[in-house]
Amino acid sequence: MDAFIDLEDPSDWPRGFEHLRELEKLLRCPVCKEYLETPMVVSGCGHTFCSLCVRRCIAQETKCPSCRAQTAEGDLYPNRLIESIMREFRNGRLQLLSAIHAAAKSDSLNNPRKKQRVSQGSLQKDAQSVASTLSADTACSGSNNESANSGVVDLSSSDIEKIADTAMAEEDNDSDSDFVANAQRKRPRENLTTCTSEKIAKDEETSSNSVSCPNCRTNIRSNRINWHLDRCLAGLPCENTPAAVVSVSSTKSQPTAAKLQLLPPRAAQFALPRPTKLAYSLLSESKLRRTLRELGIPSKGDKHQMQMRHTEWVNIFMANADSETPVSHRVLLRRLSAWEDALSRQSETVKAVALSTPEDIAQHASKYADSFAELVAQAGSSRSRPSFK
Amino acid sequence: MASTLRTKRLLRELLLIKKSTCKNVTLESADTIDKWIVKLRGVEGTMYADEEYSLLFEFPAEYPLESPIVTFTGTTPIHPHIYSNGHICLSILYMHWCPVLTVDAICQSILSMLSGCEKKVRPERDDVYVKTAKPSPKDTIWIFDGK
Repeated sequence: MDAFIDLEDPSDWPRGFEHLRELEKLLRCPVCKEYLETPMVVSGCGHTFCSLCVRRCIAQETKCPSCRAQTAEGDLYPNRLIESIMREFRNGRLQLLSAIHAAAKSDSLNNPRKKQRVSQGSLQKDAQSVASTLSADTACSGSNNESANSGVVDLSSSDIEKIADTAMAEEDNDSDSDFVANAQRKRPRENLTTCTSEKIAKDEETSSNSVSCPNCRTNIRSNRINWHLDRCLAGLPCENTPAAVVSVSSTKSQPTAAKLQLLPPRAAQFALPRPTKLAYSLLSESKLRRTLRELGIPSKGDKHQMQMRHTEWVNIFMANADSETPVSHRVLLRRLSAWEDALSRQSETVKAVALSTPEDIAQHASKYADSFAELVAQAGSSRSRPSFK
Repeated sequence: MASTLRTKRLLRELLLIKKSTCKNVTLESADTIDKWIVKLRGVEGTMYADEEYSLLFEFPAEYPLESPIVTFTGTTPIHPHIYSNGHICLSILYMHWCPVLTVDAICQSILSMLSGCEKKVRPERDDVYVKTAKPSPKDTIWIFDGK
């Protein structure tokens, strides 16, 4: 429930900040409406989506989700600039929103008449000054954070809460979902130091100037990569050589216990084969099952289930490969099983709605007995008539 | 398919429609996440000004990759593209659906369809269609004219 209240949205931007609202809209994927994750641009029409979203759409129908132009997976190219712009925007978002709200508050307090015409220019000037003081003061304190979120939603209505509760129950526990990230914002101070494993991995990578070995995917300091590659390709042990592996303590930021724990120690050794798209109609069930087993993903269920699982796996895998900061294949496997859990829960709820109890059916039948009789009579009379054509 | 994508997106859209300041589109009820009723109010200065209609949205498991089932419930507006059983002849609901479209976009399309109407009549062979149509308008094979 908390996560739902904290849902970030372009409509958080107050009146007078339409440009920022538009900017945020542009930095969100048109399909999932979340921030673009590994943005991919469709060559030809130039529309941009999350890698996973556009891959899912194309798996369903080979068309651009925006303009329906013919599109294949080969037409997708990563758009790194947008990714960086979005990252910076997200980093500054809360800060700017807090500043705007603080400025608007002080503005109305100092000069009540001015409240009527809170112009963009004056607010932005105030925002800048407040932003500078804010950044000095641990970016955002609890009260500022709340004021930023106070404008977000009025969720007092109970019906929406009810829906959110049931929906959230259906939601999977994917550790890096936006909702979790948003829920963490409740504790702003902690949020500044603890974040998702992916982000940490990224921080590690950028701050310590390391590169990923193309062979074993271990993070290696760039000046050691040649030495490592020679040994790695020759099949010599090189994983745990202290000098080769990036030492966590060498990072600029303070190393925390959480960081050390979150780094998967054996992730590098665990690599699954790259899946390819399959023509399912040409494969027998047993052959598909064998393929799934070879790919290292669950091979249970009937052909349809395996087919769905394989399609999703290809999408997840390829989207991860597109990413600047790919996660380990173990994490991908967890996401696949979370996706499947959510899917089965969803179909269960649909079934539960469709199959009512016998009492319900009896009640319904008695309630509409007259209407049914009428309909039967109508059907009888229309049958005796010649066809209306 | 993508159920978390669906849930997240529907929650966001629900939030937006709740917050929306548009007088012509309001949420009537959403008892579950997959079934909403949205109230449409005819635009001022058009043939449907001040008339209110209820739109039923049903979201399939594959939403937003697949289009929602959208029909009028209760009284249906008299319009050349709206059948008396509530089925709507609108290409974006069927073959021209694309995942970037939203509930709000659909409502706006239907409103503009109503606003552009010049004569309040039922579609041709409305009675035939209503008698033969399957419950879901997505099972009908639509032929769209224009464009």
